[in-house]
Amino acid sequence: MRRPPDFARWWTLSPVTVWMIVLFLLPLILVLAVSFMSRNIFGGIEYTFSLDNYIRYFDPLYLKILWVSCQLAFLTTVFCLLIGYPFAYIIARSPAKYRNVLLLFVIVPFWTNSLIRTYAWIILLRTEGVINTILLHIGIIDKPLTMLYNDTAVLIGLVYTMLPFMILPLYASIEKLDKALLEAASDLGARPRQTFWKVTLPLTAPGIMAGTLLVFIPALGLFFIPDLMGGSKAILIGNLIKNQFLTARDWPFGSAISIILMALTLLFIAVYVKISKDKAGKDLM
Amino acid sequence: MEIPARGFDFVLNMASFLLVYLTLGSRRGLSLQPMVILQNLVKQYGSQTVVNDVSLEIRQGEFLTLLGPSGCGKTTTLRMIAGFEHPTSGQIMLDGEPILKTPPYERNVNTVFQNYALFPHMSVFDNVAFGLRVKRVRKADIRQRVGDALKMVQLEEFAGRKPDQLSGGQKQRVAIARALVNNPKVLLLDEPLGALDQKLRKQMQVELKHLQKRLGITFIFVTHDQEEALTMSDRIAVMNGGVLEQVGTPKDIYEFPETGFVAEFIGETNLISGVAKERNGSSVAVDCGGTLLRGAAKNEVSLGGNVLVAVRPERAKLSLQPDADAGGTDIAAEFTERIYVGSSIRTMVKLQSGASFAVVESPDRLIDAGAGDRLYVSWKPEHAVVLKR
Repeated sequence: MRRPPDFARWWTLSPVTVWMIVLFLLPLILVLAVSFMSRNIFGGIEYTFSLDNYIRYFDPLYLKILWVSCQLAFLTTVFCLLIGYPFAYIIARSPAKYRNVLLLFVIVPFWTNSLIRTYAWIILLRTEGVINTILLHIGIIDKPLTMLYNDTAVLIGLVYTMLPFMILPLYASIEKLDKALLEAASDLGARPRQTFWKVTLPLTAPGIMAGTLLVFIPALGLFFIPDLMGGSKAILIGNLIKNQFLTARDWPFGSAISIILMALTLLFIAVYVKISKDKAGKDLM
Repeated sequence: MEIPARGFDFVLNMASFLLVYLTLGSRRGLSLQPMVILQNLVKQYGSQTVVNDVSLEIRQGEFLTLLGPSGCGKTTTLRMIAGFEHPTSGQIMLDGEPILKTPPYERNVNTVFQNYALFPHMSVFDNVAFGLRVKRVRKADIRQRVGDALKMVQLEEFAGRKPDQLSGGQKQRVAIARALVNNPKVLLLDEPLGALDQKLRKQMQVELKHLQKRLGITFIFVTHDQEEALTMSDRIAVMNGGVLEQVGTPKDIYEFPETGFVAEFIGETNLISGVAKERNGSSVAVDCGGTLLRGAAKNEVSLGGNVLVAVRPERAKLSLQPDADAGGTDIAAEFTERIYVGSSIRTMVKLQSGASFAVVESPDRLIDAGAGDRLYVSWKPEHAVVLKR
């Protein structure tokens, strides 16, 4: 039996469709189109097709920026995981009545603009900042430490900003973990450490994967943290894009880098999907 | 020539005799000493006492069932033996050693969990091998022992499967193999058959019992199903409200319940309340609203105190006329209804006190009666048990 076309479905979905087309698809097409054009001498766009922007990107200078960005994003992810896992574990294993409060503490910083939170870090870390003043005062150090405007500062800022994105998916997967499985492991003779490596970690791997993705990808593109905390030396791919649009006024080149970054991101997601699908597939076998 | 040879023979004989004696003696010594001893075990959560002064000795090779309704403390008791809960006070001995300071991963007991708790990310083989691997057993030995354990539960072909590709009964077997492969001194089973359907349950009950007999391992089995407990156990420990009500063989528990709770919880029973009048040996006469009933009392019953007379429905008999040969007392009753339950017929009558009383009749010997008819209920005095209220 043929069913009449399902207009109702289209009709009810139309606001979403319009939203996606106007605010997502069109800008994306615009960026993609601009990336194949070139900059005219007034900083505008010359409407001619060219691949120059993409070719230009494969300059070692730009490739190095991408490499350094990936490194930093990777380090950010590692530190978020190392800090976030115990954090999420403690929350998930605390009594139910405290759990929501503890989760709230993780989320509350989100309610403040992240730019303001970054400035707060600057106040803490700079040469005459809170930490240096206290350390000098109690005599642990005799000259101020340089904690700001270097890669470490950028890393601190990124880890701080991205940490909740790691904690939340980890919390979700640890909380779901059946406590009976941990008891079973212990019952069978596994010490707490063995239980962690053989049971807890493999079963919370989906949370680790999700958290890794949620931290790594934004960490790759965040530009204001390197801008504010890394000083003039730290140019990452996010800053490069921002500079092309705002400072150099080379929109086509900025668009091309954006597309490259996006392609890279999609690649990471594809790898993630592949790995998690393989895992799911193996589980079904 | 002959004499020294005989002498040598004699020495040899003596030696072998000594060897046999020592082996048997030490084994017997083992079985004389209880495998598990619970001493005045108490567990409190805040102000709530979940297990209240439980003392129990479980022998080597015994199948002991902790039986009781949900919330009676049976699972908590089991978890204290496993080491997942720490008693508020009391002591637990395993094979002569106190084990309360030993963490669960160093106790030589293994558990079959209620919902199996199989590791979902591991194959059946890896699940069973888990305990051996964490103890760093040699690879070849692991393969051998896991193979044997899977063979024991008839799951050799399923070694490569993941738990979610198994049926409930198969998961159950994996859980049993995973626990037994470690050669525990005691196997703890926490309502292991609860998730299975009726038919499979019956089948697993028999299999488990056979397995236990063959291996000679001490089993402590937790269930709320009285029929299961009666079928499988060497002894049953009935718990209620955190307290041990009665410990005994299935026959003891069924035929001679010591408390009203045990009488009602295990099987079906008719309870008639009355006042203890006189005692003659173990036989106690009870005044139940004017009628004098006799029954056996195992524990002390104070004369003049309120007691219950417990009679199993299958031990009572109905007749149209007072039955003088019964040797007991005939009680007048009024027929209310008959319920067909397949293999037997259950007839409900109302006593003069207003209490209802069930009698199981065999279908080929039904008495001819209808609603409102007057009948007589009787039973042999040894089939009535007098209990304290």
